[in-house]
Amino acid sequence: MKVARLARLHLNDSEVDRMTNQLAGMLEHFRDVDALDLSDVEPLNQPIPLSNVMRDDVEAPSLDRDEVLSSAPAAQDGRFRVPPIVGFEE
Amino acid sequence: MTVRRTAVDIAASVAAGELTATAVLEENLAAIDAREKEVHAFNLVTADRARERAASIDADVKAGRNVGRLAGVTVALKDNMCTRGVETTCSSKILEGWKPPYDATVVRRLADAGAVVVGKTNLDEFAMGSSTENSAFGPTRNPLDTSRVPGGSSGGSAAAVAAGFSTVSFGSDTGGSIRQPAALCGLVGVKPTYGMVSRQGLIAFGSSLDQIGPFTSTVADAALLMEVIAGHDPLDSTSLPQPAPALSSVLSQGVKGMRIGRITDMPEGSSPDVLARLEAAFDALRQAGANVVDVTMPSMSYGLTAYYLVAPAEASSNLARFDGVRYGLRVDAKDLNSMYGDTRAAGFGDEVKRRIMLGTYALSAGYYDAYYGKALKVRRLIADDFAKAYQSCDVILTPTSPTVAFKFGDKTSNPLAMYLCDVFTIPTNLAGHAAMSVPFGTGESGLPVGVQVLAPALGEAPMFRVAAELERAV
Amino acid sequence: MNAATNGAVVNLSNVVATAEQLVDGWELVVGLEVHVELATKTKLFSASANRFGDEPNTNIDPVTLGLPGALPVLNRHAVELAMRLGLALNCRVQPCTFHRKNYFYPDLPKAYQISQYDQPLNVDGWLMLPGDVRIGVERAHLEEDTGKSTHFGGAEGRIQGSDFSLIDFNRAGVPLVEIVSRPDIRTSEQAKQYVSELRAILLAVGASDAKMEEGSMRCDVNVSVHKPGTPFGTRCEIKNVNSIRSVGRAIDYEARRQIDLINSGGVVKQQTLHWDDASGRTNVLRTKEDADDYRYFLEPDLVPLVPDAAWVEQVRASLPPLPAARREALAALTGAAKESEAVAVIVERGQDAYIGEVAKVGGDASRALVYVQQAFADEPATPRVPAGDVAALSLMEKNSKITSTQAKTLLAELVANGGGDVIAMAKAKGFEAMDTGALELLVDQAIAADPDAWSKFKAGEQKAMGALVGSVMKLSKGKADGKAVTALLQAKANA
Ligand SMILES: [Mg+2]
Ligand SMILES: [Zn+2]
Repeated sequence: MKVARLARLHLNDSEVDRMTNQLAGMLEHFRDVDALDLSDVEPLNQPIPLSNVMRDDVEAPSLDRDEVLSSAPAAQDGRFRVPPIVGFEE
Repeated sequence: MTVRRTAVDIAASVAAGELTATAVLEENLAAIDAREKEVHAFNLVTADRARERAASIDADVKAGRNVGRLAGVTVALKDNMCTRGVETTCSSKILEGWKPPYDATVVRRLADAGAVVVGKTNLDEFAMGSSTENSAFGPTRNPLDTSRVPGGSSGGSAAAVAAGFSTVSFGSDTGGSIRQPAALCGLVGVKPTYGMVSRQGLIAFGSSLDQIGPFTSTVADAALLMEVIAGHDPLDSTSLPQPAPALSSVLSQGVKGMRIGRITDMPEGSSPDVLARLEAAFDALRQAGANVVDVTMPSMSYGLTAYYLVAPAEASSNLARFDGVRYGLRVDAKDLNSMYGDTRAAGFGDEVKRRIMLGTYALSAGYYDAYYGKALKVRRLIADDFAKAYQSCDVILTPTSPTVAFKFGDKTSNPLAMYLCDVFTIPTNLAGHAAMSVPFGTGESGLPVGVQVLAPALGEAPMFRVAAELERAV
Repeated sequence: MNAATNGAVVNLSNVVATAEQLVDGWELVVGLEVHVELATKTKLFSASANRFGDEPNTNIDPVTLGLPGALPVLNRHAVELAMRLGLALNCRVQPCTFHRKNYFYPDLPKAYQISQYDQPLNVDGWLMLPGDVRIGVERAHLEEDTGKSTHFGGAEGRIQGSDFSLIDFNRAGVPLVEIVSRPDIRTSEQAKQYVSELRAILLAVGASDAKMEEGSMRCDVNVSVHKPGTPFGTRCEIKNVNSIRSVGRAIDYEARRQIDLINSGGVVKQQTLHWDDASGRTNVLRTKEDADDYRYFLEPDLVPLVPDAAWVEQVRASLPPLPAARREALAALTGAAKESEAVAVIVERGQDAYIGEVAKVGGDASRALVYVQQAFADEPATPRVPAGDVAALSLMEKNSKITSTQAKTLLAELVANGGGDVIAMAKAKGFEAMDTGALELLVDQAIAADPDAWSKFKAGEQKAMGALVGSVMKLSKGKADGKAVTALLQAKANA
């Protein structure tokens, strides 16, 4: 199931079946909007229109590395440690 | 159970030295001792921290120092708001044990105002649900009838106030997650205008929909809390560039001459007891001098579809950061991709997985236009409907929830049935408007019914005026 | 981001290669995507430091780490630097938005990169190469950098076969501009010129320190080949090309590979390649079929950026003169060719204004050009040596008060000491040039000592002059000015 792969969710076969059915049901229900003529409708992404929100280029102190790494699943030499990266580019 | 005090009373009494913050807190802790096992409102009760905090407020009062507008008011925080050094889990195994290195803006503002945090409350995992049955740590029960759900996703926060575990509490509302549990637990619950309250430190579900808001016993308490937590935050780019609105001062203004909208083409499916209370609310406002006017919302019923594509799409991206690299759960595996997949499969519950999949699908190549793109257009139609309706009225009244609190398991087997709980609340989030639920009597089995007051963006003042009138009329 | 160059089979460019530019009758089509880190103090969306070389994970904050609940806020200075670059590249600055590009990788904290997609900040610009070759710039957009992964175990620092990787997030969130050229480049030489000119512009406008060796400027190269007059071939994208020299090598290698492949009956597949500088070849990273689905959508945590006309004009007005114009001015001032090495180097160092100063106080600009090129490589744009000192030195040499060799010695001393009184320095070294009377004496001495050479010289044999000049220099212990000696010998021969 491509979607599960994209979302990095390892599902077992029965989960895939159940989810596929439920998703299909929902998508079917969501076709109710096919009744609407949306050709001339502008999409609405953000409810309240704002623009040009910016901050000044002023440095603030870093978080404490040890505090942050103490809640990491694995850390080494001041860095986060991850298992071997297979099937990715470098 | 002790008589429930209001935040307004407590803050005034503590500041005046007539009541100690410690005494207020101990009442709550006693209630927690008595009933928390049964209700399960909390993921974490921070009694020690709270006692220290209360003692320091009492010391400040004694020393004549300024103690803030919420001195001694006890609050419970939905467990999706970051609290520095205190576990924040979103009721998910994937974040179990995580202690954020920073405070959410709302948390900081509450602390600055002298509030005392008693704990972190249970929720549907990552705020996805309408019954708090989706928590990885077990459901919360409705304190008014423990065979029933408290609503959701902020069910723990609603239950905490309803059970007297805290004076007030805070939740987050993406599609009704404050208003619906408020209605089901007999409380006031507010979903502010999008951008009114900072989202910084609120663990995102649907970024363009989420807002933090209060649960209280009274409209006046809700007004006070809004005045403390609202207002511009430079750490949130979507925060409105204006101060918190003055709301406490409008509550006594009455509704004379106000125009109250009644939706003539409202989605069907509400139970008769709920509809009867809505009619009673219109009557009460009419008697107080308001005019009830008919409005139409032809796109309202499509809100559900738009919402259940937009929110999962944003969530699928927001929740991608839970990858086992920097914090939270990791399931060890031989390579990175297996670690990702196993960690996320083990860390997320069914409903979260379902929405991540739905959202991923709605955004994926070849489907964007048919699903996500279309949903954004429906979102526009709903906003347009509202804009048109508000040309002829100041606020609109609807039920908050189609039914009173339902029994456990009633809707868990059918995701769509659960989604229908939010049919009246969702359009507000899509439009970014303000809305609140006010308790207005009881329905079936003597359970509370909430009436929803909808207002346009920045319409908090008229919304609170109407809410206060309804409160007086009960 | 390369929506417009994806799988290009349609000829998007009207640039045609000259006959000399073809490789065995094949035309190269090259486009470049260059990422540059902007010279801000802080990150694109948060306040932790943008600083290279610090201890790992010491420039981090909730936004940088993608902690739950953290929200981005755009850095105004980053926008301004990106606008400076865009305007310097003749782009149109336009209202723009940010999107999320979703993919999982351990150095990408949020599992999405905030980038610009269909509405970038800068569009439709161009850059001029030597010989008035105009290369289109499709867009120059803002985005955030990733962290840095280091691979351990297995082969040295390589990802393949490694046991684990360690991640440093200091670089995560550093502001980048990605500059996407149009496929207007026809030779590897032009590609190198493009990168070098882009680098000169970046330095001139102060947008970036553009250090390829530190990764603050990084090139991806798109290469395809086709027969002139036919549609474009299938392109391959080469990543990790980390020096100007490598840009040329990678293109030459890849073009050859594609031509050989087609000539032997093969078909070029759309691939992402990795340039291995050590072996001088490209390796396949992935083919198009397994490309990720990035699920772009508008970043809901940010709002549109709408630079108003006043802001754009203010930034435009603050732009310094650009390298091309400066090279032209320096060439005119010094009499050197505008495409000469000296002119290019000095403008790149930003020392052209200094030469203008030297000329302004009466110095000889053409000598100053040579001095500055040779001796000021380690000096800042405004060298410590006062312009007046260099002017004095140039006049002493021009007026033959000292020889060019002596001038070189004094120049080195000026640089070492950060300036000095060149007349006194020359005196102290005994560099005072000999007066004409004394010189004449030595010339006569040299003629007397080698009458054979003298008669040959008079007969027009130029080689004989060298011997005579050499012995005069010897007699003068190097104080004689070679040009003056030649002039005297010539005058005597004509007399
Ligand atoms: Mg690219
Ligand atoms: Zn890029």
